[in-house]
Amino acid sequence: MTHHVRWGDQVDRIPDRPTTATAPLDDLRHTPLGRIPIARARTVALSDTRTTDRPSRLDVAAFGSSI
Amino acid sequence: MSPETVAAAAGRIAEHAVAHRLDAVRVVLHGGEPLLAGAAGLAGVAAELRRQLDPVTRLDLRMQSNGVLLTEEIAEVLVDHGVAVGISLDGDRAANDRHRRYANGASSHTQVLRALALLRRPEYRPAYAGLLCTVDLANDPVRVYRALLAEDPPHIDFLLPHANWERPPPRPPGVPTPYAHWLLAVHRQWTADGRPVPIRLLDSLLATATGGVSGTEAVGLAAADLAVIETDGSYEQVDSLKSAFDGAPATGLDVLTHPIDEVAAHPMIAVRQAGLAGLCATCRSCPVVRQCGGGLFAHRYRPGHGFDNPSVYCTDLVRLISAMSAGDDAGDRPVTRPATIPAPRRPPADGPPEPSGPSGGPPEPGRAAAASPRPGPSRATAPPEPGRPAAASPRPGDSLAPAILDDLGSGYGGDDAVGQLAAIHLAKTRALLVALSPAAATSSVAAAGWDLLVDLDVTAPDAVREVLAHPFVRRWAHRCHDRPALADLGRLAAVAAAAAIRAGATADLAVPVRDGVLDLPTVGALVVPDADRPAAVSVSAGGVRVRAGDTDVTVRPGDTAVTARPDGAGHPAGWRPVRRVPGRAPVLIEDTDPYRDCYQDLPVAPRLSGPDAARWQRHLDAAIRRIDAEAGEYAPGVGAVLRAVVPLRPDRGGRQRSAAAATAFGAVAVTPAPDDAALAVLLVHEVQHLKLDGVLDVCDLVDRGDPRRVRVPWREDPRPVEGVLHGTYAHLAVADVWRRRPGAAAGAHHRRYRDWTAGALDTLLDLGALTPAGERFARRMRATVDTW
Ligand code: SF4
Repeated sequence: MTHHVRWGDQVDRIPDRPTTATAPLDDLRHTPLGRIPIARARTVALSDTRTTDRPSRLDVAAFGSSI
Repeated sequence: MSPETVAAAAGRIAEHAVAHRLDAVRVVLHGGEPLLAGAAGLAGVAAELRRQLDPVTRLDLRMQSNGVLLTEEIAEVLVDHGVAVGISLDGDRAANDRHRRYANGASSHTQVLRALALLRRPEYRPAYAGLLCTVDLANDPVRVYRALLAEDPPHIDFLLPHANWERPPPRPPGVPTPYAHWLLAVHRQWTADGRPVPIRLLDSLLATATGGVSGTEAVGLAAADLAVIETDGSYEQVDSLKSAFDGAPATGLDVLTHPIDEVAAHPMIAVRQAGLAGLCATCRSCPVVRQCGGGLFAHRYRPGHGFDNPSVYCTDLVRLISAMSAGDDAGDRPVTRPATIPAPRRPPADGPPEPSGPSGGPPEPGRAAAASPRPGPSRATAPPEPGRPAAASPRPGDSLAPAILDDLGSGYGGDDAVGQLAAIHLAKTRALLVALSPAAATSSVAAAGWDLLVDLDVTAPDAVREVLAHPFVRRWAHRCHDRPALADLGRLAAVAAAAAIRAGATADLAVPVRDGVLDLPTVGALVVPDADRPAAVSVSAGGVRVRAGDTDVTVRPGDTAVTARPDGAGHPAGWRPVRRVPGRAPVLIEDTDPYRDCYQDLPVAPRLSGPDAARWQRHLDAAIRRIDAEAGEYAPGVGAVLRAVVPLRPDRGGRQRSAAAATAFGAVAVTPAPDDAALAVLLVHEVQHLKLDGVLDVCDLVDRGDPRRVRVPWREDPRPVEGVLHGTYAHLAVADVWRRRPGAAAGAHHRRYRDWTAGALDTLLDLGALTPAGERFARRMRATVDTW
């Protein structure tokens, strides 16, 4: 079964249950630690860390409520 | 200071804050030695200041101390009352002992380091303001800097010694600017290290060089905005003036009789508020005056001329500022290149050539669009076609499939979608560890840990996965990358030991003891007082034997009991096994991990007592059950993502507070909640943040080059676009939870959060700061709101 979501002039068909797909970065989970290429690890690790030419991501999100 | 004087002083400060509508006021308790007041005395002073000032301004309450008398009891008082303490430390033992000995000549260095170890504990870290170091030419500057850095301070400040034209500072013959030379050596190393910690004096000079504001009265042209209140209630000018002449700081005014405005009008303070016009003719015509500001006021004194002179450190200041501005601070040593991770010890045979380290590596492919200049991603750009990755990616499979993104964009996310987020987290942690591994080769403890972890990853992958999925393993690895000069690489051994324990493997390795605690992620922590070197840890079927200092104990993970060695040595009370939420085995109540204090201004609780832990376990179990029952669409996210709950200290203002950090994916920090219903809302809220963090790990939803700030109804300060997206995604879920609860109050909550969400979505979709994938994600959120 599918339902339709409208945005703009487009109508897209969205399956209720997404098709099973391999999660991103699969190679990093299934290659033994000692065999993961350093360059590949650094490229992925870099997005987690500070760089001089790109502001870092928002790290902490805090919530305060009187509930 | 008597309670009456404290009350009068607090009243005067509050009166001044109201009259001048001050956003913030900083009050510093200093000496003598404020710790002599003891825990009760400090609590009394801090409570009175907070009672009078908190309602009218933001009170930044600090203390300057030598740390010698700091105890756990006092540290509790400091955190409870929001007091941050700066510790005076002049470097390593030899450096510190030159001027900081007891009256009997004994060294105080050990006591100071003990105090710093206490302040570094996650539960006391909010009370750690930083280190204050007085420059002494007899000490090697880089050794001093390294010794300070080793204490992992939030800030460092350097002071030039008290001196004036009557009593000039010592200068070795033939060295015209020795203080500049000393500070430039620190500056070089600090720059080479990637500035791992703010140094107030140097940061101020860098800031004023580009038109910014100085953070210290020692340099810059900012108006003097501080006065001293003595223990008898008299107002004085800054303490450093005591070095000029007897009675120099006196004003003849006091808190019982005079408002602070009268102090500000005192001629000696007024002249320090005149900026450039208040300086002597030499300074006014000086090319670096906007940075220097004539130096510290006290350093200008010359008998017969008062303070109408340049600083006695003038030549040093000119040299320091000029060299820093010109990038010409090499002195007699070459400038060191920024720290990079050394070459790998065991390069994988099949790996491609390496790029440079974290600070010099190529931008991450797939993130390039984030650096695009304004205007951001074109609104005319068509949404990505289904089947195409939402963001450009370095490899096929490094981004979420559109169907998964759509499922998460609805605000919910089925088992497949949220399972992918947990998988991304594990992959990121593994990438961080592998990227750290070459640097680990430089330490025998870290290298042995890495080798064991690599072996276990093959022989016991489930055990390794359990440990690496722990939120604070990633947090630790992230910090190692973020601040290589402070990288705690030895923790690799703790991670490996934890994996060996979980695998039931046999292993012997050295594991560092940090601030008196040996912490094994997902297993527990052992208090090991007085260990001055890594502990010898033996993992076997019989348990985990730990030998360090006087400690020789065997623990059986999972047991709360500890088996002491037959010789009676050991600390049976020191084992703190990790606690889990019953029936929710993967969810830990994390009150021991040394990296759990990552929630900005929200202080984490210390290790919970047994009854408190039991209460948390009951509340968490009930809250998660409630989510399953009343908001089942969010249950998969909680089940797949939530791995640890970090108890926070109660909020001083009585609010419920919670937080999540992207670099500690899977952990939610929360203050004690009144009941499971309130806790459920907080958990859903924070898990939403984590879900979005997981998406943002692999998909660009926001143009990060967009500098705009957006006003939102749930915060006073304008937020960056990513912050708005985060808040919107979290509030959507909160609105949804309230929608499902009965009663008028729940309805009101629902409408408030729904309106916030709907309004923010309209703003986001109109702003033009979302990527095509981000716009698609936001429209999925909008579709959910529209069904209510
Ligand atoms: S460098 Fe010397 S002359 Fe210039 S502003 Fe500073 S103290 Fe005055």
